[in-house]
Amino acid sequence: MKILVADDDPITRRLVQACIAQTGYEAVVAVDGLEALSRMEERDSPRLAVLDWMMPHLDGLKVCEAVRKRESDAYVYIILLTANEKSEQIVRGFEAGADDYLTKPFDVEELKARIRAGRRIVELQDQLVAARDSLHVQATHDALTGLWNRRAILEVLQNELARSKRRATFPSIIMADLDHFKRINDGYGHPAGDIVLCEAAHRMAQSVRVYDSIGRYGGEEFLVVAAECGQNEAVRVADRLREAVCDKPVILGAHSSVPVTVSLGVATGDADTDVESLLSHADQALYDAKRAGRNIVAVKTVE
Amino acid sequence: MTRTQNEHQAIDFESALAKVGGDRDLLAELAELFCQERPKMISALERAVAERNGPSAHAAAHSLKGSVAVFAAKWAVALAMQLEAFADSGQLASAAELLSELKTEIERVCEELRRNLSPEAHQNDGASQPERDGKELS
Repeated sequence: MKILVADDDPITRRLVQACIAQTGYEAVVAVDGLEALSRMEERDSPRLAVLDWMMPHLDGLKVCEAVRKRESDAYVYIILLTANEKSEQIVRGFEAGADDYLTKPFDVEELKARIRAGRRIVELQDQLVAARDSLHVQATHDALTGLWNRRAILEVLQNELARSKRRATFPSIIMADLDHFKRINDGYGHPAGDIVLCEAAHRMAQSVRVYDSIGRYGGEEFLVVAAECGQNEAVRVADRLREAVCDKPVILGAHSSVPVTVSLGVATGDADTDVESLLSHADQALYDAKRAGRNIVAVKTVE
Repeated sequence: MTRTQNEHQAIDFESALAKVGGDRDLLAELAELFCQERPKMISALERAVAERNGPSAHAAAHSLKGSVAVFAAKWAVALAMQLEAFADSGQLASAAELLSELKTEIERVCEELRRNLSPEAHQNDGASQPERDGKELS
């Protein structure tokens, strides 16, 4: 972890730098508030800052305020160094966003202890952010295939329809359903079924365009939201998915593999189409594809 | 604020050493840096006072105060603080009067730092401070 020290007085600066080194961290040095702020905007910037209150150009208080205004997950713990301990000024410091303060001249052991305390807060913050991010991934992704889950892909669709409305473009979706999946499950067992689901999901995810989204809609059913995509283009995408899935058998083990195909239904709407109608048209197209013999793309245009 | 020289200790060496956790090498490094930087710091203050630039003089005096405080240089801190206050309230003439006194005091701070941190002083650690010429020992 890097720690910033900002002080215009070279002696105090050097002293704080020594304290930082003694606590085992890397010191980043600034001679005034402006430099401090620009050091904090760099990549991999310091997560803890020891700022002198009174500095030329931009004082420690202003630096605090500027840092707190930024929208960042990486919390910066700020210790202010002050030459006077008038309580109304201390209050101002905390209101500006300081986490702690130390009056000069300070004891190095005390500063080191405060740096360690700050480090604990920063670590705790990082753990919370990581936990939140991991929860977000869990809440929006399908655990087996890693694709968007049903709720997330429907949200993507909702957003895409809103965008189509604004831009007056045609929204298309593709509903894909693995053929005779029950037979695979029954014949090879559920673990094999899971392998087939993952492999098919992977092949399809590799075959959509970069701006398309794909999610697991149900058991062996997948939904692709094709961004700003008319019917012809959507059919081309769907056919690519079909080919990718049936291209070669899915390998289940050293001596066993199983051929897999997918049927796909394409539905294209206009600027006024809602989610339900688009989904039900895609469902009907998928049904047509199944009835026509499977491993086929069928189309339904929303009237 | 006048007083005769040698009437007082410019620095409280033991207290300064305690503040850096007894790390003599660190204190020596800081002292050397201070003695090196002091002409620059003093001239910045002098220039600001001469130009009657209150905010600059205030900043320079403040910075200097921070430096000498590290060495528990009580009298230098008090002078710098007074100068800071004069600069803050625009009394640059009073600030100018204090300046030479502060400069003298800062020289004494450097001298005492050198004397206390010389290898000889280290050997008789805790013994009363010998009267040596600090310069040759720096």
